[in-house]
Amino acid sequence: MKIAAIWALLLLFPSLSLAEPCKSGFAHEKNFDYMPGAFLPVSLGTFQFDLPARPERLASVNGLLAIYSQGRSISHQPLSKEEISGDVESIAGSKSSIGDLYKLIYGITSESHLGKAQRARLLELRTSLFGIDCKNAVEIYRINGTPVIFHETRTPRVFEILIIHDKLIDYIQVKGPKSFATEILKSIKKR
Amino acid sequence: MTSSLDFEDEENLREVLTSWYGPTAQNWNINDKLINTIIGMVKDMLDCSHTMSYVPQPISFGNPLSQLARIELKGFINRLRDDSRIYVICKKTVLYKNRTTLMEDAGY
Repeated sequence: MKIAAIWALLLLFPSLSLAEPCKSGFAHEKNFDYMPGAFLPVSLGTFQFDLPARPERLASVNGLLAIYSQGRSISHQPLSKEEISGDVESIAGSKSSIGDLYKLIYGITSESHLGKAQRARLLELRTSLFGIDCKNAVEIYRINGTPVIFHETRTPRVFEILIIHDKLIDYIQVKGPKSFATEILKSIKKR
Repeated sequence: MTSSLDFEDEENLREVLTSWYGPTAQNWNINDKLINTIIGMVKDMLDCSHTMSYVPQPISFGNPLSQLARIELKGFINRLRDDSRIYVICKKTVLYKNRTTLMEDAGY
């Protein structure tokens, strides 16, 4: 009876079985060696990354979508505070930028200044929306002082690369094998 | 690829997609794969917003479209126009995370 009840709970609230908040903190920051990509550089304002090979199709829709064979793709979208409206300040505190919010979400900055309700909301966002828990592969890098997140998500299974500026997030999503995503990551540099 | 929707519902869904992603969505090919992705996205928005009553029932395993009566699918699309119970951050984050998948579903 108890086992049936537990199964029912897991089916109703699958996040219970996946979410495991990190009590000991998030991943430490790492370094990587820059390696230029084999095809075109893509300019993102102050940063750039390279396409690793010639895509089959390119689409420009408030960003970039490069489509490759075998279900692989690379897309870029710029995210600004307007994209997520007034929720930024309600979670990260007044006068916060979108960069402040993402640094909190990925554990780059401390949440000690947040109130109890804000922390609860942040934890909820991490687990339910961003799929971040101790079992997830989140890697943190810095390029010229700017945090860069490399995150393999479960659903959908994609690789997310976030360059966290203060007022803008460069969001790069890569579908394909990890080696394909790593090529993109290593090609990021300041222009 | 075609969809399970009639012309009117396809146009209603296209209107919702345009409000989410801008004019580019007006030319997207509405098909069952794309509708399945949208159902999953709305579920993610609602999981985040703690308002499960908004999701058409029953959705459990497998292909949600096969479990939905046509009338429920019509109601689901109509309810998509009213997202007042969804937190903006939940909606926008789900939208940007799923944009590439939707564009691929839509025939890019």
